[in-house]
Amino acid sequence: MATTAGSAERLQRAAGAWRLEFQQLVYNSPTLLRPRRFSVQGEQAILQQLRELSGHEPLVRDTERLFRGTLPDGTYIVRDGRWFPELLPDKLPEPQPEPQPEQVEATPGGQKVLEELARRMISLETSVQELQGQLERAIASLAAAAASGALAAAQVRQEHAATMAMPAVTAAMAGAATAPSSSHVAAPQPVAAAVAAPAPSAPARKSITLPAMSALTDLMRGLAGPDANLSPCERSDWGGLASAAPVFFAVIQDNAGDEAGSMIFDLEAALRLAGALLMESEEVIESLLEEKVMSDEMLDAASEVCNTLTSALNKVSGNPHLRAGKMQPFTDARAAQLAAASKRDDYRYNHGGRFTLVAC
Amino acid sequence: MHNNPTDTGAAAPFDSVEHWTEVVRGCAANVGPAMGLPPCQVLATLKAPPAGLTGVAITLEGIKPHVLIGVLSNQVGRSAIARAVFQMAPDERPKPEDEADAVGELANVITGHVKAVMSRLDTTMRIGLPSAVSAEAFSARTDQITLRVSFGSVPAALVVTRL
Repeated sequence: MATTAGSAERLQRAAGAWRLEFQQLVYNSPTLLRPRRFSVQGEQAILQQLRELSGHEPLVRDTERLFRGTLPDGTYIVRDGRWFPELLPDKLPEPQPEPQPEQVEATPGGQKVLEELARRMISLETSVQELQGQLERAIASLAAAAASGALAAAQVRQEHAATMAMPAVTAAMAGAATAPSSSHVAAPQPVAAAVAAPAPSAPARKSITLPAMSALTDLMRGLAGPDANLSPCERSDWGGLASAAPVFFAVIQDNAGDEAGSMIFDLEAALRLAGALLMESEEVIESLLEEKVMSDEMLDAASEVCNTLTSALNKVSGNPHLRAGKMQPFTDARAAQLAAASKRDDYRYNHGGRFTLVAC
Repeated sequence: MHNNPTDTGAAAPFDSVEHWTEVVRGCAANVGPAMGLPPCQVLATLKAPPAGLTGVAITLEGIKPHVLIGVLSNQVGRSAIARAVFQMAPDERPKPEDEADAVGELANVITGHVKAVMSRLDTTMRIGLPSAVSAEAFSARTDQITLRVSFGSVPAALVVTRL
């Protein structure tokens, strides 16, 4: 299995043992590379691996600094070539009175306080994203329930989502308005409790946030030229469309392999985007469209297009790292799953065809 | 298998095609704006360049041949590269020889940057003469990687072949 140089992602210390997770591109078919996550354990092995990842020299020095220190078990993530503690919602520090700027600069721990503030901002952004997702899901379920006549049940869910969201918003705002006065404040705080507390009826895994149309359009233009454009369109009846012409979909998975969403393309969009990636002439695309043929090469290229579009999902703050699977023909089972999607965006591609982004 | 640390603890060597490709990727990202092109964005990684593309390939060799770096594009891309490199008007149509010169210049600059980065591998490394190539010259092989890139909306393929 051939790989590329890769990038470090996470450093964990558990029971005194260190473990590094990093990502590399590996061949998953004779022609295509996909990101895959690896791990190594042990201080020397980690340092050796980091040295072999190109451009990680500052990270090697920071890793050595961590290894020299006496640190509690925890997880560190890469930010600007340095390791920072990963703050999960239940590990957010307790808010403290905000120090005056001159105090921050004057105290020896001023730098640490600033770093703590930066970390808190990242955590707060994540919290807001989660709250936004909860509200969107609640609104979507209410609309669906109203359409099916089950309004009463939906009201219960909506009320529950609102009660879950409102204290969290309030607490998050309170947390944002304060700042830690010291660099080590580890006690859980109301923000963490509000955000982390799962609702009894809420799904175990939060839905991903779909990217803005402008982000997708930018990728399309890189792929297919400056005149490529997307426009929102009415919901596509993919089950019905699949009975008339080939329809394809690719599953979007998180690092754990759980399905987080999917992309659905009609034949024309799939062929035109795959053709753009392979720089095929318009004549070739037109002839494939006439024959309604999706060759293996074009299917591979279309899968790669999905991978490219997935980068827009990965750029959405709060989304986990996602990757697209191989494109495959649309099935009835997929159509049934689509009905239960938490969110979907339907687009028309101005060069021809349509596609849909779906969040589970 | 070049690297699967979970199994072996080994990593991609400095002289592997994967490492060369990473360097080419980084250098291409830098040279676009310097040559009047938008920044280079990697869209996909392929083992062989798409059929029908043409361009220029340049070798890097020193104590031994190291790599062949190819810059390929289609007609639209070659014209756009020529307009950018020679600062032509958007509606101006470059001559075929101008297109070849422009793509060759782009390949030359990218290869020059790669040589600078990789010179610690071989201090005698030098840039070879550019030669016109087509995609068909790069059949799929294990020690070759094709980066499907775009300089803004200008499509291109960068082919790195370990020699």
